Amino acid sequence: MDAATFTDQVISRERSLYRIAVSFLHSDADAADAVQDALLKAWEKRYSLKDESLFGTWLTRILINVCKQRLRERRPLEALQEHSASVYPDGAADLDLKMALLQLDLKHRIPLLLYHLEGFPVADIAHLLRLPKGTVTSRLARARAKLKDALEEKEGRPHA
Amino acid sequence: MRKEDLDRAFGPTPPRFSQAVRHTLAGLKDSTPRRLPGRSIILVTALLLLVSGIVYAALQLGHEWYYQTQANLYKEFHPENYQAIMDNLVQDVPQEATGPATILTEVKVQEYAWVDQQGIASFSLLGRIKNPAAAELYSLWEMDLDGAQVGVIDPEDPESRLLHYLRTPKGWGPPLEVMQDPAKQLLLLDLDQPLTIGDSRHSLVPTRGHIFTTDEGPVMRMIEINLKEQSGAALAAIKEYTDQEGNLRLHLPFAVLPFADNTYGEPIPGELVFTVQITK
Repeated sequence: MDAATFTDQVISRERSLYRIAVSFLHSDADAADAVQDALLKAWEKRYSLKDESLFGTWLTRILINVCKQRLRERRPLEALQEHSASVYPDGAADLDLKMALLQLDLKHRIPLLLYHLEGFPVADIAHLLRLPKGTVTSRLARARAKLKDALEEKEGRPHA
Repeated sequence: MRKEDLDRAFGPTPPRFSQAVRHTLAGLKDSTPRRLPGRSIILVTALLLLVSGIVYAALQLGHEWYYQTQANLYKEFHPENYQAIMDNLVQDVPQEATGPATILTEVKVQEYAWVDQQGIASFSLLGRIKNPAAAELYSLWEMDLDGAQVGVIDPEDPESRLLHYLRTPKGWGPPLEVMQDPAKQLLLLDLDQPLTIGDSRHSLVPTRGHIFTTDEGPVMRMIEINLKEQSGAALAAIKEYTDQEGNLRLHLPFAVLPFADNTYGEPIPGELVFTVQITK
């Protein structure tokens, strides 16, 4: 894969990369750093990608690894204090849904976003997160239920 | 659940994010990365020995080796950091490892760079087996990378398994199938602990890190630290524990875990204490 093709592939997925990174790291600046790291790693390892049609899944896997590594290295208290205030930008965002998403813990939020927003099938999510497929399915169901409960609580009524 | 609603919850993609992505992409070049495999380095080293007659002790698994073989684009994309690190590398590091784990393994700092002006510090650490005839050592991270070992068999999940899987140069599978010599003891090295400052409870938070088992055998950990992004408490601890000559003592706890019969043994603790010179 040459630099032009790589660039085109990345640009077409820029929004997806942003959503995934910010879901893990809760900070635009950290998300940008993580995506930059992931792009460099992917470029270095591009010869290991045998089938270019799998570029999206492959790059997402690399990005998730980078995000997890950064979370491991973060001081838990600092992460909570410094990043909770800046989670997701406010401009034109659906605040209720944003806050409901925030209330989900990582293990529920990430499969939910990969499935409903990024369009990955359960088998791919299991591969991306290195989880059994049964676990992904149960986490998805739990995430949907928790999100629905959180939205109903905010609106004071059942959410459609 | 509508995709559009979920997407809107994130707000627009920040312009600075897009700029960062495009800046990174603009730096990509089509040249084939010049990876220099470990075997080539050994060959080149041997030739140098023959030609120049210089006694070359052993292949140095340190920063230069890492940037050539594992992160060969680092120099290109982080030229200021790379240059600051390479210009300030210290190889003769006062250090001592203690604890029961030192009976089985040697853990040491290969090299470090501490560059206050640039606000960057970098460490390369190695863990080696002391008796390779009796045991094989791998990074703890090589075990169960796929997360499919759940301890039970779920009939609806064909990937669930009871056995732990290990990654080695020989492959991925149950340890006895992928070890070089299954008759040897399997030891796993946990080298992923924080670097604590002096006798304080504060540690240095890495900005980049990489732990892996090298093809050459030792477990390697690379740590890069942005000194400008450390907490106030950590910076105060650095100041408090740096002596008049500019020496700062750092502590790295580690552990060796024996593994047999699909079961982790009790972690055997160790601690590496080393001194860095920070007034360059």
